[in-house]
Amino acid sequence: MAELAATHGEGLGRLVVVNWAPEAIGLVRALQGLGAASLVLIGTHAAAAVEASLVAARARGSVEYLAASVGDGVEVFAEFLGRAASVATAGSVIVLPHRGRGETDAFSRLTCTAIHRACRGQPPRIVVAVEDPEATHEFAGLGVTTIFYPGFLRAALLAHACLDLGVLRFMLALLRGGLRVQSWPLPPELRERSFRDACLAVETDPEGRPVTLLGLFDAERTMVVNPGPGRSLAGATGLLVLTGQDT
Amino acid sequence: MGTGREGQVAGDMAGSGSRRWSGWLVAGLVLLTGGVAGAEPARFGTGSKGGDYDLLGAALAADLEAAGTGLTLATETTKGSCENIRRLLDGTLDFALVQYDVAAEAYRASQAHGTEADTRLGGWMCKVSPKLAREAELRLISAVSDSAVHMLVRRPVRLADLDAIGLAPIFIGKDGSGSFETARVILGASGHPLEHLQLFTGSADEALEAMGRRELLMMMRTTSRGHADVQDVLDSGLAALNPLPEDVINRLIDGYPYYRVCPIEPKHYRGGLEYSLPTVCVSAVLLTAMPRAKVGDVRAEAAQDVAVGQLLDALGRVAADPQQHALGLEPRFRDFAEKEPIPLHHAAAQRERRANWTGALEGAAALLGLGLLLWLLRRALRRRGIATGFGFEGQLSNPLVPFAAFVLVVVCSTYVVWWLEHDSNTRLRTLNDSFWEMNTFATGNFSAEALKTSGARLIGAVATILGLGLLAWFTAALTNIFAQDQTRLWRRTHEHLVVLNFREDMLPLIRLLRSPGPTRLRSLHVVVPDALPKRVRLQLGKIKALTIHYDNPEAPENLGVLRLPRASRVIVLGGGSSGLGGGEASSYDPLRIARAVHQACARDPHNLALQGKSGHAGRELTVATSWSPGEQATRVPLQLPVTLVETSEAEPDEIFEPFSGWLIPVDSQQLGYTWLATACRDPAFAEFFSGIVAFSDANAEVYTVPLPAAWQGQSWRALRRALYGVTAPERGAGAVPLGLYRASLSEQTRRPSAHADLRTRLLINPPHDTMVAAGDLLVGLSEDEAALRQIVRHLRLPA
Repeated sequence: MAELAATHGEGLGRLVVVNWAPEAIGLVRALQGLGAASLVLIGTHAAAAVEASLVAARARGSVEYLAASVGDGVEVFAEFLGRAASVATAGSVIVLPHRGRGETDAFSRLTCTAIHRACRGQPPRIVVAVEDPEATHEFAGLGVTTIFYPGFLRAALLAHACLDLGVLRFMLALLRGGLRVQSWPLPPELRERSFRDACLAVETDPEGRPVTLLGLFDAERTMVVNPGPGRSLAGATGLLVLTGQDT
Repeated sequence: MGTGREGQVAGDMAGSGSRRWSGWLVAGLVLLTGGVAGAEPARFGTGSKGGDYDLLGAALAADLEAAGTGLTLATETTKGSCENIRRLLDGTLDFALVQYDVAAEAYRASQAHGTEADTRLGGWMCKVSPKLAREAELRLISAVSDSAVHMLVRRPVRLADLDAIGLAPIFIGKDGSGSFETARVILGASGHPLEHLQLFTGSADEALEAMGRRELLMMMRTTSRGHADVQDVLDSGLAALNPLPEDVINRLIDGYPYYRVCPIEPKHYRGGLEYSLPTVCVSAVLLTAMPRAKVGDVRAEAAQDVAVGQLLDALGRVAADPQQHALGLEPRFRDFAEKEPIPLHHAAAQRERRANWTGALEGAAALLGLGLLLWLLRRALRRRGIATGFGFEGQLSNPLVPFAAFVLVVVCSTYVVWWLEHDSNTRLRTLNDSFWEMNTFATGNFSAEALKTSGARLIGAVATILGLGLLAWFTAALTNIFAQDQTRLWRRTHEHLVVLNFREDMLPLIRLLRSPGPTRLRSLHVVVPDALPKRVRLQLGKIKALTIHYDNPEAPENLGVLRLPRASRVIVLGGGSSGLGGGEASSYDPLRIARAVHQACARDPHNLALQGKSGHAGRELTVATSWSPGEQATRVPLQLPVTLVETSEAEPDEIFEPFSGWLIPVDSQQLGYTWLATACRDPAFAEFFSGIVAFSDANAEVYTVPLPAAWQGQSWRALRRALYGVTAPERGAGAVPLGLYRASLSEQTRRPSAHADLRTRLLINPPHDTMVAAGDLLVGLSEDEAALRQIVRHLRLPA
């Protein structure tokens, strides 16, 4: 399994967070906790006003704060992102809701438009947090990878808690980093085998820790979770693996 | 004395205006002077010797003689009603007993006009000519008894209609008797004139003998119900009573409305009848007549008034005499026939009015008495503090009210329609018939065919409309009860879910809890703060099976109604965290709510019973609290619900440490940030997590299910390998084993409770040599919970 370990990356690299505010210091902690090497925070607050909240974060790693907003104009903001934040070279960009100026998700969309232009149509991974799930479709064509609806996350966690505490524990383990969902390449010797064969073959990670095969990625790179033991791996482009332990 | 022989006295006094007063004066004079004393006896026509009429005449004569009223009856045996009516009209009888159909036909004959009619015998009963009928004015004194038409048919023959008689010999009585005349019109109503029938000419006894020889098919007699002769025939087994065909009865009454529909009941003939038979009844009436020439003669009228009064007195006495019970006397002035054309005699009419007044006064007194009784009863109940108000608005949802009203409508309409039509409608012979007919009407099946008169149809229509309305009310009330029951079901406080301090952005939580799945069947109680916008409350109100409580969740007493110790889960929401990157001020503090939950549980009756006086609830509110040594160790633990509290960065998990045994803090905002960070690190995480959280259609839902006991002591490696080899038999989907959810060792020594879930350990990706222990649950990915259970059920241990 040594070759598998070499294929999945560790750490977050450099990240850009747009519409950041001191109230979201928890995000900084979470990113640093997962190994973010460098953070660029962009917000509307004056730099002096956020310095106090960033002291602890800066002790843990590189954190740069820039004051700017898409409210200045999409073109101006795009130019700023490209020039001052080097957004095109970031590993990921997180767009937080920007409250206080009209409809929050509309501003997030303008922000994504600016990022898209700053990267000349080749943006890095963009993760957007929205407040209204109905606004999801508005982000089509802007290179957004993931749209996150925090309200649904809270509701879903509590609803699962009402149903099955074991499942809630599993989800919390996924969220808190004890467990990881990773994509591994498909070993050549398994290409003509079934999903059951792959499950029996992939039982540990390169360090010998137990893992669980959750599913696969088909020829179109579509994730297929729990495809069934008889599913052939022919045409599969990767494996979906659950790693880590939670006790 | 005889009214027919009375001299013409004071004929000129017969002025129309003063006739009544002068009549009274003369009548008084007649009485004062001994009126009828010493006068000639009144001629009283009865019937054949030994018959009912003859016996009644003799009884009346004897009574009058015994009473010494001065009126003497000279009873004369006759051939029956025909002779009696003729002799009344020609003045050779003063009083007579006549069958009412014969009398009414004679009266109708007297109304005929034209000299041509006078010279012919015509077709009236007993061949009474109009000329004869006009010679005297018939006056009804009273109906005395009832007779029913009995159609006795030789066994085992049963006649569906009278056409079946054909040319078979039949007996209908002696010509000249009322029975003969009645049978004649009945056969006529069936389309059979007597000329075309073979009539048996002989006495009734001879007819019976002929029937015994099978020479006679049918006998028709009009006699009182329960007559001994008929009972004898039935007992002999020679013949059975046959119902009169319904169409014949209807046609008969349409043409001769002097009859009325009446049933012959089983009670009338012991052992001779199983069911009620429809037939027609006709009354015997006591008649008098005033020659036309003397009509208006004050003296003659007064003398007749006195005689009629004494005769009515005698009739009443004889009817009340138990020894005369066999005569079956039922004196009546009205309501003995469908139509009663003969006018009531003046003296009889006076008695009728007096009786009506007496009846009305008695009825009013009874009503007054009843009202007084109810008033006294109500006052007594009120003094005892028992509520007596009806409270109509409160009764609207009581199905007994429309049901009782429906019964009242049916009962009232039953009686009224029966009263209107029982004499003429063969379908409403008895109250029982009328009751079921009215039930049909009141349930919406109105039929104009069932009723004959406009009055009855109107009552039927009203009963139909009222019945439909009341049934609708009844149905609505029942539906309301079921709905309330359902509401109560959804409001039950056992294994329920409670959400405290609800806020707008948690509407998705409610939707998820009400989406298809196990939690959908649990009652859901949501406590909302005052600050929650009205639009959100309205939205919550539309969600089925959700109870909203408008209370302050920080006050333990407000949470008592929620019976929290019996709740499946309690969720305490933060006050204002509505998204990432910022929050609003919290209206209620989650920690204070958690304390309130604890206090409310301590005050719950169930925990109070467990704790006793030394428990948490026994501690009074005071300035300071002292803990005695070892007090905590001896305490019985409270039953507390598994509670999830939404916390924030400002409230670290540590502040909830005192509640760690039953409370799980969930910092959802921080979890959101972690989610974002993880999504940046692991590209597959976001899609996978969304799939399992949102119960997507893929086979990617996470469940925990118990493992069979046979797997205890087996390795995780063996278990997971076995799971990979099985698919759900009915669905074909597989399962992905993730790990075990293990009960803590300490839990095994304690009584089971909801807290067991909190003292368990999640083992995801456990080492392969981990042994499955008792109570372990399998955590796995599958299509749904049922599929995972199926797969586990079909697991086979390794060889």
